[in-house]
Amino acid sequence: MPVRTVRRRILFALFATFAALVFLLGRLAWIQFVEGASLQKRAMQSRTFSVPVQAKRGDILDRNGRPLALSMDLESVWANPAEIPPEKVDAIAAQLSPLLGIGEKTLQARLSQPSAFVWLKHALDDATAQKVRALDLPGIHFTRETGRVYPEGSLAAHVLGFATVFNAFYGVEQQYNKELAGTQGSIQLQRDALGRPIAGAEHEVVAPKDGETLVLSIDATIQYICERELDKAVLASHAAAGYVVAMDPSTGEILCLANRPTFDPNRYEDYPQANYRNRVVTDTLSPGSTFKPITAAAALAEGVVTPDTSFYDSGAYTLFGHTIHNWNGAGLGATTFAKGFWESANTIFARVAVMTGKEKFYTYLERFGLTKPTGIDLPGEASGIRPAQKSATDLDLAIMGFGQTLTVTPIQLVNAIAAIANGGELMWPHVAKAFLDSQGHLVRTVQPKAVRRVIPEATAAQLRDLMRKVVDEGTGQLAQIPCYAIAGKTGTTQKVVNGRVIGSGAYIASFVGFAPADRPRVVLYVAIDEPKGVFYGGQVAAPVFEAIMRDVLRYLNVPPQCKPGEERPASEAAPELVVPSLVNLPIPEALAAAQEAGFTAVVKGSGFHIARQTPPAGAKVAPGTTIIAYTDDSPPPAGGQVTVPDLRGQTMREAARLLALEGLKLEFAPGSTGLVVSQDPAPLTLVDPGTAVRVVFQPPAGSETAPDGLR
Amino acid sequence: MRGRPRAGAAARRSGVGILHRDAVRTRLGGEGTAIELRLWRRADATLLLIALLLMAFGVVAIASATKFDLHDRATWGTVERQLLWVGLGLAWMAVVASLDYHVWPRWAWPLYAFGLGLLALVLVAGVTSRGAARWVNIGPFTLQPAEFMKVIVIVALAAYYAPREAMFRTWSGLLAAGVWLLPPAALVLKQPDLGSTLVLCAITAGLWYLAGMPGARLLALAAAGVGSVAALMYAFLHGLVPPSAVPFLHDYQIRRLLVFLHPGADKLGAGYHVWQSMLAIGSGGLFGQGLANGALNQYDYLPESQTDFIFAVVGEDMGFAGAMALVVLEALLIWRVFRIAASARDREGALLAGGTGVMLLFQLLVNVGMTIGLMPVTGIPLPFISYGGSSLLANAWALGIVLSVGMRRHKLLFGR
Repeated sequence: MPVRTVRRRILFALFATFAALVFLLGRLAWIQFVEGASLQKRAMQSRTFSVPVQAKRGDILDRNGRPLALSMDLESVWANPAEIPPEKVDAIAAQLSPLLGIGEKTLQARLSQPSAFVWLKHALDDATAQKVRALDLPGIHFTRETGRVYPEGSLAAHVLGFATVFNAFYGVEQQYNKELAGTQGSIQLQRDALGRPIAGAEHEVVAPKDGETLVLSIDATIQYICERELDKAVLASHAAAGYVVAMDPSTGEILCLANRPTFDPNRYEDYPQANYRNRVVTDTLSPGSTFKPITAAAALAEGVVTPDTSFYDSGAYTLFGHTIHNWNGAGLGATTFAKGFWESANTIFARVAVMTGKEKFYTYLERFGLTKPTGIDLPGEASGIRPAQKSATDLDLAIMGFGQTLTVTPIQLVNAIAAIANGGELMWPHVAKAFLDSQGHLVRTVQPKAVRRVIPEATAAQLRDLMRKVVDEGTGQLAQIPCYAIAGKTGTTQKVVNGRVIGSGAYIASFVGFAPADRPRVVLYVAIDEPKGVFYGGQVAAPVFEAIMRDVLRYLNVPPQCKPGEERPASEAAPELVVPSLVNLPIPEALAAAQEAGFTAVVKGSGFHIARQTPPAGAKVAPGTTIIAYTDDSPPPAGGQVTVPDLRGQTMREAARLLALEGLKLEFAPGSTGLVVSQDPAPLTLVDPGTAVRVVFQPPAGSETAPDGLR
Repeated sequence: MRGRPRAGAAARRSGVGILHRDAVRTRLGGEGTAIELRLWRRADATLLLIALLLMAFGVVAIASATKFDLHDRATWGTVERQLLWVGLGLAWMAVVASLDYHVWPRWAWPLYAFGLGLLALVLVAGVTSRGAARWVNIGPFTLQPAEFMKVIVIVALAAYYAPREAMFRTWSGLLAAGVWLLPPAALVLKQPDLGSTLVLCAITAGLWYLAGMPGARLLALAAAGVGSVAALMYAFLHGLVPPSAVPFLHDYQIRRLLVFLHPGADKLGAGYHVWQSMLAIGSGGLFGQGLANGALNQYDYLPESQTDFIFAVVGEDMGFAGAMALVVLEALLIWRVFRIAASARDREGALLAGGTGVMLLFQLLVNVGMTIGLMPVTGIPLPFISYGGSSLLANAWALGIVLSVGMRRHKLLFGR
């Protein structure tokens, strides 16, 4: 029966239908009940996207609350290409291109990306943001971002580092990025398949957590003083670089830290990357004679010598066939350890180091924190190197005794000297003082930490006396400040790169010291890297130390203690005057202006108007200084030559200052005192910058203030 | 049956371009078979009711898929057109049901030729959308001939197989039974429309089975088919054959087939449709997100949501409850269709209704299956639910024939 076959087979078809039904419903149930929750979640994920909302970056203040880095709300503009009709892309790109400063082609490409979120430009200024907003373009949106402003420009640049919208580099910006940055928030938006935001869809807002405000131990005023004087010195000596660090020895707080060359964090991109480096922390150098206090500390604390221990110094000390000479090749003859210290006799320190012995010497290196990074809260800290203790010979030891063959970072050295200044305790150096929340409430303070006791109080006191003598009577006399007791040590190091002395003229002139010598408030380190011409620490770095310390002590209201007959500080006795600008004035007016300002002027050339002058306008010099004015017809000095000023009758400090203004060096016999009686080259001679002017001082007739024992 | 004139000759006389209804009337007059209103009392009311429910279900789903808004006339277009198709389809179904179903086998060959002609026209002057030319313009409407071809193939094969039960016993007869499939299948695949091609193949295979092909032979053929497809897949998966080396199939079709074997592998490419569809259905839960409230559909993540992926809209909006109701309704419809096939008076009726059942079952299985990751993605509409006039009219036509078969069933079976 034909139809019957069909019917039988249809039964099977019915069964197949039923099977299909079960099959489909089973799978449906699996998807909707078993996998449902996860599929639903993934569907939600695939249609949400988040627009970041930056947290406000915390400000950075100096210890007195003066802002060094501020955050400003800036608007950043982004696009949702899905909202932009393709035919409008070109027009929108053309409108935005001039406002955002982005090429039209680039904008077109970004605006047609298959995405729902594309950054167009970060950190627009207000006016531009207003203009873009006014255009009311489809698919163009704004979000808040933080822009960084450094109101003091390059001041403390190496302490601060810099922050971009995305990241922070160098300085405390990098070191405390986590605290400063806060936590980014976001707005979760829902979008349709084409990337257009869904109007009215619930969107989640995660509020950003603003960053903390960082209060530094840096004092902006002290920092300013340090940088001003460092600038002058580097300029005057045509040095390659310069470093200054000031520290409060009782707490380890850094008061100022400066490097030259420097950069302006507002425009960091305009400077070579090398300028960002904070070499005070990241670079090591041979400390030279500034290391001698450490050798002395080891020897004194271990009782190897006393200040009065006698030495005979022939000017040379031979060990294993190597002969060590003093810096001037001369010997002190029969002398004491104290005198060897303030005259900076290498031979004596070589002997003392050997007498102390390797074990003890290395122990003190370690105790003074010279073998490990200090742990300062600045990024990239290095640590000095030295001959391995195991293989170090007596010769190594002897050379290390006066600060050669070993290296330290400036911050390690400052910290070690601070331990001597504060009575023997090594502190943890730091630049962060406190953290405030975004409302300005104190979150936590950074407590000073004593790392360890290095030497007994008594030894520290002996060393302070020795270092004071260096300034009073020894190589550091240019660091003297009237009515203040200054302690310090000069250093002059031939630059060593990869174990080799480089060039003949590559020196680092340095000075490290503290004041007041008996109750130190400030430890200050100055190093001038590769000065041209004169390179002795006592002549290049000590005046910088003096200039900074004088202003800092006055700023900190440290009471002056004048000895009977000692003059008041120069600035009080005879206030400095500001050199007036004579440029473009006719000669008679120029002469009058100079006189009115308290100066005498000498005109050179036969023109009618003044074209240049020296010292330059704005410089602060002693009253009565001669201003040399050149008329417009006199040929400019060849090859940037400068005129030697008239130094006769000036004090040592004034002479150094006048020469520094022209980029010249002061050279004089150690132990000189009094006023200038002669100079070579003669006044008004044209010389190359950096030339040393040899000056002879003579105490004024009848003066009784010249210290005894100085010739 | 043997005494019936060959339909082809009549078609040649009346001309292929003549509308079906005119041709039908001509034959009716000749045969003297009147439309008997009393026959309607025997009509399968359940089948009609299910069909009506499904079409209503479809309109609601399409409204959701196209974001229909009562207050916004601009959103009405698709729903309005679908309602028009439903009306036309019901009328067309009534007309077809009223006719004696024997009229279709009689006119099978003119219809077959007419269908092939339309398919050829698609290739020559088709309307292209998304890389496929599947439509021809008829006045204001675009027609998808492949949909009608499915019914025409049922009619043609029923007409051919009904008097030839024995033909499946010889290999030459088997060859003859398969030959009729090749021209329409090749033309449809060329469009390209893999889905419709597969439906045509399924109808043919189903009719072979219903028409009496010996089980062993059928099994052998099925094994050969499954084996060769499996071998091809294996070759692809292991990079033995580049996709471009396969004749007839396009790159994207092969990728979709392969993605089916690695679900979730290419969520933004070949697997995008299935992934979004599964996300939508998975988001539905038990009772769904509510009508016109499914996010994936409303925010355009779901592609082809009113046509091939309408089931995903149902799953997202109405959840398991709605999706189950829909699948059960479809299964009930197919059950009623097969039931009528089983009660048919003769082999022609049984094969016409059975072929329709196979067509509906295959489309249901593949369409729903692809939305839930059980079947590869091929463009097959969900009968009576997916938007589209051609599909609805073709299905209404087939259902009208089935109703007619039911109305004129063997009296003894139901004791009337």
